[in-house]
Amino acid sequence: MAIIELNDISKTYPNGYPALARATLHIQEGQFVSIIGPSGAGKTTLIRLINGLEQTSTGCVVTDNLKVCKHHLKKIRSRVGMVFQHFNLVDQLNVMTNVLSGRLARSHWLPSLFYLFRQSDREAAEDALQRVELLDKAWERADKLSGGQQQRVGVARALAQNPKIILADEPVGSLDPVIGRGITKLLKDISRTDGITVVANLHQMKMVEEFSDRIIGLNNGQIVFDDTPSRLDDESLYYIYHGKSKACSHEDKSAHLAVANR
Amino acid sequence: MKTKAHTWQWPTASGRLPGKFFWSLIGAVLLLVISAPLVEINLARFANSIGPFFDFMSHLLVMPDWGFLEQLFIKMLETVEMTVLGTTIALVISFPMGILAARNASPHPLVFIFSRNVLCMVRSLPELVWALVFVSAVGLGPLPGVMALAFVTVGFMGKFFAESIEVVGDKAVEGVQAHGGGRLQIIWYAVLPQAMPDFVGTLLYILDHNLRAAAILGLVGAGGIGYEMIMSMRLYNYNRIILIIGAIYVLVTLLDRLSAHLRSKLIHGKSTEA
Repeated sequence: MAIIELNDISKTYPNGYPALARATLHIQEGQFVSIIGPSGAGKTTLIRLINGLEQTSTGCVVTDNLKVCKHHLKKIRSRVGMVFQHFNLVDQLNVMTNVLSGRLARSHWLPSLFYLFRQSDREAAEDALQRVELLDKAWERADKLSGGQQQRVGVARALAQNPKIILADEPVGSLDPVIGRGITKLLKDISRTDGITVVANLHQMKMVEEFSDRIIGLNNGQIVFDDTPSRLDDESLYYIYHGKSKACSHEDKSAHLAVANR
Repeated sequence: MKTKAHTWQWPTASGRLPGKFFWSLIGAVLLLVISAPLVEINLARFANSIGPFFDFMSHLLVMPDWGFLEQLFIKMLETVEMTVLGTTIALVISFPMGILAARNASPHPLVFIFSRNVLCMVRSLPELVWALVFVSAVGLGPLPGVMALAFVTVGFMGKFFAESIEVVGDKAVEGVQAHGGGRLQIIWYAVLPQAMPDFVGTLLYILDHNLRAAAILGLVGAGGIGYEMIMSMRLYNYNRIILIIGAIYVLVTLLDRLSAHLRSKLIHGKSTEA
C-alpha cells in the first residue's frame, strides 16, 4: 500500500511561478526513492509538499493515510523526519538538544519549555546518535562540528522520532563526494534495516543508480521518468535534464555527457 | 563600452558617485550649517571655552578627601544595587515583551502593534524624568530610582530583544518545524537560542548604560551617588568630586572587563577571552 500519495497535485507559488503541474505519484512503504531533475524542476517543492512545509494549489497529498492539511500537520510531522541541504540545526544548542528537538512533537509543551524530556526521549536520542556514530559528540555545540558530522546529527534528529518516512532535500548538496556518499549510504541502510521510506533529492547519478529502488525524473514541474535504476539509460537522462529527446536536439553531445557524469 | 580613462572610479555604471548619495551628503552638510546657529554653536565660543575647561579640570588635581571614602562606598554600593535590581526587573518583563513585539514570534499582529507601542511609550521619557515622577509618587530614596531605571530599560531592552528575534535565520526554524514542533516549541528551540547571543550583548550594554544612568538619578533625590555628586559640584568640593569620578570609572571598567569575559564565554562558546 502506498505510504505517500500525491493525487493530481499542482503547485503555483504566490509570485506566479508554477513549480509542479498535475503530478500524480504513489510511493510504497520501505522504498528508497530518488528524485532527479534540473534545478527549478520542482524537486524541493515535491518533497516539501509531503510534510506540509508547502501547501498544494490543487489536488491533495496523503501521507501515511493522513491528508496533509493544517489539522493533521503535527501528527504527520511527528512521523516524518527531514534532512536538509544546509543541515538546519540550531547552532547554539548542543548536539543532544538538537536531536531531542526531533521528539518535540510527542512531548507535552509545558515541560519542553523548560527543556525537560522523558527518559524514553533521552534513550531514543542516544540510540539515534549511536546509529550515526556521534554519541561522543553529544555535548558539543552543533556549530563546532564539521559539515559531515552536522548532517549526521540531522539524520539522528530525524531518526530520533522513529519516523516512518525520511525526506531528504539534497542531503549531500553541501558535502564533499566521499562524505556525501557516506550520508546517502547511511540513509539507504536505515531504509533497508528499519523499513523506513526515504524520499531524497539527489544530483549525483552514481549514487542515484547505486542506492535507489525507484527513480522519479522531474522536468519543468512534470514527472517525465518513473522507473527502476536499471531502466535509467542515457536517453531518458537526457530527456529528464533537457525536457526533449536527444534525437530532436542539435546540442553538443558533451553537454549531455557532462550531465550524466555529475 | 569605453568611457574616458579616469584613474579613480566608483563601482557604479558611470564610475561616478551615485546621485542619491551625493545629494544626501550635500543635504546633511547643509542641515548642520543651518542647525548649528540655532543651538548657539559657533567656533568662537568653543575656542573660548578651552581655558575654563582646563581651569575646572585643574581644580581636580587636589588631595582627595579620604574621609569621604566610607560614605562614598555606601553610596556607590547603593548605585550598583539600583543598577542590578532595575536591570533584572526589566529583564524579566522585557523578555516576554520582546517575544510579543517581534513580528515573527508574536501570536497576533494586534498583539505585535500593541506591544511595540507600549515599548515606545515607556522609553519616550528619559530615566531622570521618570525618576521625578516616581519620587513624587513614592517619596525620596533608591526605590523611585529603581522603578525609573526598570521602566526605561523595559522600553529599550524589549525593543532590542524583539529586533534580535526578527533577524533570526529561518533554516533552524524549519528544522524544528519539520519535525512537528508547535509554535511555542519552535520559538523556544529554534528562535530564542539563535537570538540569545544578541540578548546577552544587549543585556551587557544596558548594564553599562544603567550604571551611568543610576549615577545621576540622585540629582532628583532618587538614590545612588548622584546626590553627593551634585552637592559636591555646587559646593566646589573638588576633593570629593575626584573620588566620585574615580569610583565610577573603576566600576565602569570592571563591568567592561566582566562583560568582555561573559561575551566570549556565552556568545562564542569559548572559555577564555580572546
